[in-house]
Amino acid sequence: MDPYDALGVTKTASADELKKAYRKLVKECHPDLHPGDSANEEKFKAAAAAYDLLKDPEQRARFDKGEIDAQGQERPEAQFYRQYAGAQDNPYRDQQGFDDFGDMSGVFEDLFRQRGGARGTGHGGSGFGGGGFHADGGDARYRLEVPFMDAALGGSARITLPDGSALEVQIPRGIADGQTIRLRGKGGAPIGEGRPGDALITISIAPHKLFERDGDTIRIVLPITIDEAVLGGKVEVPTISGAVNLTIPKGASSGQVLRLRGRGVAPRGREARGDQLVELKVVLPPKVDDDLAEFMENWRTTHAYDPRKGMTP
Amino acid sequence: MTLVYTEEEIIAEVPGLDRTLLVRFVETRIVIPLQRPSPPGVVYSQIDAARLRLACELRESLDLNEDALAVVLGLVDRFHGARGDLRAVLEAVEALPEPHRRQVTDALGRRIIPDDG
Repeated sequence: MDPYDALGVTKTASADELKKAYRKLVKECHPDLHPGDSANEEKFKAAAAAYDLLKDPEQRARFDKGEIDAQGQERPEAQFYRQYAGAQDNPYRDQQGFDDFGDMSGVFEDLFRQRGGARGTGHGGSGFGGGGFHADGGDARYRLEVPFMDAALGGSARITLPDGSALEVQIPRGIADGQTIRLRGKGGAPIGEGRPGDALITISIAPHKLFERDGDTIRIVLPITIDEAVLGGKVEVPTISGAVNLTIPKGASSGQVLRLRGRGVAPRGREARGDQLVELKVVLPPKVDDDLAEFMENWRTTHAYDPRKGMTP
Repeated sequence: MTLVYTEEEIIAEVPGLDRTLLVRFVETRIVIPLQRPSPPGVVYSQIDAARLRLACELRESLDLNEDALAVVLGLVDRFHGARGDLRAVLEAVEALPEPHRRQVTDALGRRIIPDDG
């Protein structure tokens, strides 16, 4: 598509006219402001590509002389905000309140309000009274990465405030990725006799080199030797609360998953811990020596088996 | 593993963003960097890159200052959040057994007046 057509201007349009035309299209068609409107989206993508090309006078001159074409300017999808904006784990979205949903039945109210870290009732807002204007301080938002183990077992961390000072944060045991910790009174300053706002800290859990977490379940991949796989045996497995012994059954295969009950994470507010799932992975010795090779040569002549039987697509 | 950007990287990634602007965006909470304990410092994620891109775009094309931008982006968040919630509700309705689903869609039909109706 001709970039001038995409912006709806003539070839002689001034830089100002270009900008104006683009501005109009941003207002009317930007997909982050008008999600779910595919016709407008195409219009915007073409206009954005056209504007990127034409806003630079040098590039525009080269295009006008036919030295470059209008290709290759379209922007990949991942650069639009709306791709992230509606996701449940968008750290920016829980800023919305649902206090005005108070007339809904309890179950929905709880559902929607819990995300915002519902404010205490019976207070809040602003007003004149007692001779002067009073308003509660605003909430201050932060995002904090915490080490995997601190999130699983609890711990403490520090965040740096805009003024450079630090604030100690207790990380409750079992906190999940994306959950928010509210520190009462650690937010913005109030006006008059209002209350100070709160600090809201959205937690992001750092990955661990051994463990993976899925809710209150911990997963780990455990390498075992071929003799352990064939003969079975007891091996040590790391868990978030120290190593434990695990019995490998005779004839174990890679991919087999064993469950260690009660070795996972205790979710917030509950005593019972989840489980740890151990996925076995048979690992050969670093070097296959003559003994092993010779044994296998002999063994397979009389004990052939086919684990890929029935694998026809 | 999610991709993260350092301050330098995010400035290089987002057209029109420079350090001064980034500092102002952080001050006005248009973007909230992720604080890391070790090594101590802040990083930005992909959602921040997309958000900063939108902020720079609106700032440039609509001549919005940081306060107006913060308001606009706040509304964009609420709007997308509400859409996300609506989608979750509709998916939940979709997953209901047929008679219940019909009950819900009938009830919704009585409450929502179509645009062209």
